Amino acid sequence: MQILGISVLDFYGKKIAALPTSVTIGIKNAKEMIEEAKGYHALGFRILKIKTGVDVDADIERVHILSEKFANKFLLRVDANQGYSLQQLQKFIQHTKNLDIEFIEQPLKAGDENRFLQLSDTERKRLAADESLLDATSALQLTHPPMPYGIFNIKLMKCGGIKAAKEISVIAEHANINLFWVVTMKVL
Amino acid sequence: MSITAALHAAYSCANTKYIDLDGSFDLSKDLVEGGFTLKDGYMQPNNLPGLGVKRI
Repeated sequence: MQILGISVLDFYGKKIAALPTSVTIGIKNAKEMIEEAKGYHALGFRILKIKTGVDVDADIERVHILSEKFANKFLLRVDANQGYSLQQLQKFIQHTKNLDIEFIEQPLKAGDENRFLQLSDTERKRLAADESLLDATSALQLTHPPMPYGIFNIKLMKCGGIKAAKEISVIAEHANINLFWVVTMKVL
Repeated sequence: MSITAALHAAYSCANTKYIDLDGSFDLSKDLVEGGFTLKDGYMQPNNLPGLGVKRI
């Protein structure tokens, strides 16, 4: 595409101008978490993705602390990394419903998608598939109604490159599923 | 490089709604280095041919 003199993005057709990125905060104590969040806010970031999934009660407390400490300063996303049971997920949703949480990523183990059917359509729309989504074949399975997820997490490293990612994105688009791209930041 | 590739793919999809920089990084380091820009938390690829990155 360098020979054509156009960018990869222009080759496919640009649909999005710019989006705000979240930055990821690992599982750490409240004080460290707040310090890290302050640093990100100073750099201009306005969305935090918080790793959770080890202890649901501690997770609920952490998102409440962040919400109170940074009221209206950050939107929150939660990555539970397959760490919850259905009951724990329901507890998390129940106790955080008044907070600005955009979505919850991979709350249950991949393969447990049928358990989501006990959740409402609105609740499922706010769940994002990570480990449940490996390639275009699994993407297609996840579009069978009733759909367990409303969001697909796409990582180029996971699915195998731009072409594979585009296949998943087309499947998602036709099922009215939104995309969440995770771009790995490596500082050498 | 992987960030830029992901951004190009992401912004070519109409249903892209969220992006995330995975992993923490040293806050003191310059985050912007070829391929894309990051301003006030918004990410934008540059408009140069290919992925807009140069071989060093």
